[in-house]
Amino acid sequence: MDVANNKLDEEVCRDARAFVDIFYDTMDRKRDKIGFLYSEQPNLVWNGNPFQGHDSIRSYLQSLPETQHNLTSVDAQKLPGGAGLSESAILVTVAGETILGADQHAFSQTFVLICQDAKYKINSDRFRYLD
Amino acid sequence: MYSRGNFNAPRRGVKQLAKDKSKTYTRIDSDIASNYYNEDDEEPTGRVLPQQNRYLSTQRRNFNAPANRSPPAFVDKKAEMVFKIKVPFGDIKYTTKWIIKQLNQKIDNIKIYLPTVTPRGDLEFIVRDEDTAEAIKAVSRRIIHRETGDRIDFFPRKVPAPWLRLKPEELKTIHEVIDSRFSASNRTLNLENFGADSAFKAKDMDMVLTKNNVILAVVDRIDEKYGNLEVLILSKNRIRYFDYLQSLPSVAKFLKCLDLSHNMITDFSELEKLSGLPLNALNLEGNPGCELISSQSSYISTVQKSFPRVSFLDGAEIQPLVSGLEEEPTLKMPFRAGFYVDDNLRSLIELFVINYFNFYDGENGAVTRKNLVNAYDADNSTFTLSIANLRDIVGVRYHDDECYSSYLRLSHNILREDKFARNRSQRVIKGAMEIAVALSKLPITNHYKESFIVDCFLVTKDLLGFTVHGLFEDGTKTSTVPKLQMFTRTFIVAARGPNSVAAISDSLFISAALPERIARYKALLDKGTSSGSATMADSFNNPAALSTTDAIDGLVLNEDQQKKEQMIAALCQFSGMVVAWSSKCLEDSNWDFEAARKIFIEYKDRIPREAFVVT
Repeated sequence: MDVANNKLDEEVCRDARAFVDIFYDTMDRKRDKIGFLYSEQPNLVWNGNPFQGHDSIRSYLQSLPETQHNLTSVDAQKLPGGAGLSESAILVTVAGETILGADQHAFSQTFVLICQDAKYKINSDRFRYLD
Repeated sequence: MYSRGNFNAPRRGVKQLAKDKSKTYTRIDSDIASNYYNEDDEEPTGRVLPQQNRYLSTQRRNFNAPANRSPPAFVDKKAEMVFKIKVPFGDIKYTTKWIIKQLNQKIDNIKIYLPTVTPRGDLEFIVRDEDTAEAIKAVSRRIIHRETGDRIDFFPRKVPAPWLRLKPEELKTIHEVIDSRFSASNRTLNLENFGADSAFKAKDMDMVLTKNNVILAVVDRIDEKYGNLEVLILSKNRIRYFDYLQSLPSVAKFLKCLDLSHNMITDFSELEKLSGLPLNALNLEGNPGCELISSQSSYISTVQKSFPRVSFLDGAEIQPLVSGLEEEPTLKMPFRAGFYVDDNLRSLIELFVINYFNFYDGENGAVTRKNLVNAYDADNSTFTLSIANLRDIVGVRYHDDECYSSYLRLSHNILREDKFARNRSQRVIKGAMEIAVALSKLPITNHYKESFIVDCFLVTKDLLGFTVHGLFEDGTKTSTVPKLQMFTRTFIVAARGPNSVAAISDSLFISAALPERIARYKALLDKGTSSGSATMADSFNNPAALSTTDAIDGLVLNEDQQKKEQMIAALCQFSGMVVAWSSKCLEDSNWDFEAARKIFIEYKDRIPREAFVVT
């Protein structure tokens, strides 16, 4: 049991790690590509403002000033299959600091990733400043 | 302004603090007028005196303070005290314009007076009230200049104002004259030859606009009453410099037409001090500067450098540099209160969160948390936590070693994966029983529900995902001052048969927090409260959304808890308050419904608006 769980967690952590590396690199340096990371029907709640759908999320994120994210914590869990999401959905929670334009904030962000076309895509994204 | 100690008073929640804070703002705002008053005047009002005494006493203290041994050669005892803010090398490194723009974005209703650049390139400017000075202090080193990566420092210092106070009678007359010259129908304020107004002549007052204190009073009056001004006529006032008009752009945001004809303006580069006014039309005729114009095109470009939208200059049509609507990038959304999608989900989520933390918190957490076995799906549930200090406080030790090590044992921060690569499964707790046991071993806690911000980010047919952000304290109390820490906790819950939901996922993040961050979090909370929750429920146009009415009763509760829920529901219905407030009210009256009802009736006029369900 432990062995299987260890292996599962190793995979989840590896996938989550790879995802956050790509996500924040895209956000900070290749913002024009950010749309590729979202699934077909994603949603975003940004500091309490909801965005629904691929286009509105992409255009909003692209409208934001330049960013730089420094992560402090990343936690990841596999979500149980058969719960309305894809079989291999994972929950990723991130905390860190961001510089947005000239503003600096601590932030917290949560992603629900689902598997689409054999790739992890963001189904749900929640972002909020902590200070 | 905020201190941790404020949390000692059980009923003074964050929202209350927010209200108090706004009260002080109002008080000071309404008293700004009093700053003009001469305390020696025959009829000072009672309201004005304390404020002035405060200024006076501070002034004396400053005299005695060794650090401030060389005050200006003369300090008029009657002078208004203001705050001079210094930004070392602000102008040469970052430009004055950029810094002022940042401050305007960060601080509501900030009025910046007399920005000046010292010979070595420092930016200095004046603000007039203490709250603004405090707010500026709070953003010191929080604004970052992208090109250099520098953090901008602001150093406030209390100084006597470089202008003289007006007597109440003078101020009153100025107001009367301004009011008499405003035409509401075309939003025009005509201050032509202001000093020569018969009202001044009758009282033998010399209130010309070339006097600093008079022009300041005019700008203040515009701010106070005529913020929607479209036309401002300042002709024939012998105006030469605009230093004291520099806050006009932040006050008259709709000004389309400015008449400065027949003044004493010699250098049109002075106009830069008014840049930011959304002018379409400008009249500069009859100024000495007109004689010095070398060419029409350089004249136009000087004007359009500050007012790119001007299409009428001195009555003649010119080609504006920028046309169309103001296109300030307003896409950056405001910081809002929690997002719940709709009221049904809000009730469901609030009920879950309140029940959850009622079991979680308290001295007997080790026992009561075992009840949380009911909050999780029996087999398909996972709990992880991560503890890490945010970057700016990396070296700060958690306030309690014992608490810290019990979190650290479980910490599943994959940025520190090396720490648990060998025993992963011990840090990923699975199944309701295991989770309840693990939770009961964590330090006892007290979560500040009034500090919670909840965002719902996932709604599917079967699942609901939301994150709770907030402040809490943990461990055994060693002092009366609570040591607040920060947490975010993400739950994903699934419908579990009729009338019930259960968590399938729980991910907790904890960070130590210094008082500065707590204060900033509370400031954000205020901001969120004032901008309200997003209401675009249709944005989450999800026909297959969780059937909330089926799940609305939340957790399967024990009998006692069920009774409480019924009481909360009854009080919600009676009072129209949201679940959180009804629950708090009942809690405060020891779950005596009658008592809670009475308390509500007695205090209902004083309960903030956000306590009530929006209808």
